[in-house]
Amino acid sequence: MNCNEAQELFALVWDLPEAHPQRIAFHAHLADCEDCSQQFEVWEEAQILLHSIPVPVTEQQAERVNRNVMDRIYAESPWLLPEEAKVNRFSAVIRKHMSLWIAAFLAIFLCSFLYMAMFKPDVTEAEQTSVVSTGILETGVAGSEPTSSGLYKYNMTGADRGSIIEPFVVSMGPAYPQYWMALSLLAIGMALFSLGRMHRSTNKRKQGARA
Amino acid sequence: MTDSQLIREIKEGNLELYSELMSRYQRKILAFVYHMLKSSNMELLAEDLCSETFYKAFRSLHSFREVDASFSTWLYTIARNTVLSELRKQRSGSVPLEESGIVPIAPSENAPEYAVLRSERVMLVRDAINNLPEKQRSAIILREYDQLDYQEIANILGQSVSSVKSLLFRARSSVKTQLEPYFFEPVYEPYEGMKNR
Ligand SMILES: [Zn+2]
Repeated sequence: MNCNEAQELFALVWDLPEAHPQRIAFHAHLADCEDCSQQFEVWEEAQILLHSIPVPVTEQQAERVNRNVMDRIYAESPWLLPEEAKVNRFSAVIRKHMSLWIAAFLAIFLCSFLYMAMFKPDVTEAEQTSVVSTGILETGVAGSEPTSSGLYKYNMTGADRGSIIEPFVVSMGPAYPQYWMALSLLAIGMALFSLGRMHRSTNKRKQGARA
Repeated sequence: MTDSQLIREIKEGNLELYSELMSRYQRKILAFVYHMLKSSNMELLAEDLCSETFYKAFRSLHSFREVDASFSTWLYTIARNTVLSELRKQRSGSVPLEESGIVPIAPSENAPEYAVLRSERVMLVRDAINNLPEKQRSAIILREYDQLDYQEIANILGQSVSSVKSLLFRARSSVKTQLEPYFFEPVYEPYEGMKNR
């Protein structure tokens, strides 16, 4: 490298990577050339001073900018205010209530199941076998024999047997354990579903806040 | 979480994350805006213009495409435009003496050639930068303070990489020329920084 080449690099040599061949050649030339190295001292001095200009920014200023901008964003769209705290408290209460409800419905389910299990022998032997063997429930016909009313008919009172009303509807009144079992299952299912949804949305929120 | 993940979440409505995104760049942008304004003695506006920058960025976040530039480059571009339009506004009111171009620092009586204090020298460099034309000034601030590479500076200034190189060359030469009267005499005690280089 000659003096001209070296001087062309004066202003740009800092931008080269440390191991760049041009940079190495440049410093090799400076080591040998009194003239260039003296001139380059001025450049270096300027560069060092340039870097020693204090950065005039304080953390408080930066924070103020941040708050300022967020305030402006929210002032413009107040409905977007972060209500994380509120939502979290709200969902905690809801969750507690939900678990109570789930427990209650579970209890109802168990009671009705036990009830049904205890009264199951009431179903006539003939009805059971006919259902099992064909797998198809016979349609209820007005005035027909109780054998056609399917699995859900029991010898509870006998009052509704053979009535004109559709047997399924009749047998699923609140007086029957299946009614309560289905109801409690449905309620538990819905409670679990909404809990799951809530959990997911809270998680997403938390992830966002963490990152 | 990366910038692009954050931006995606913000676009989906997670607005509070914008604060997080800002906190990654607020100091840098604030410093950049400050350096840009210093030349016009308008550095008191730095905070306002920095807020303006981030607010504008938020408003047009939907138009930000990561393929074109990184988020920080995009921010610097907005910051520079914000500063320039503010300077233009102010200048249309009152025209300062040194509109642009290089005004050499006249060696003053209280600055004897060889014995300028270091802190005073820093001020001289400061002035030398302030005297640079805007593009050179932007280029050197982005390069020296923000350590951006040529390509990023080129994106921000809307120039080619080679013109960024020449901008930097002219900026540094000009700073050196302006400082020379103060430095060219024999240095009595070597500076630690120089010996280490
Ligand atoms: Zn030489």
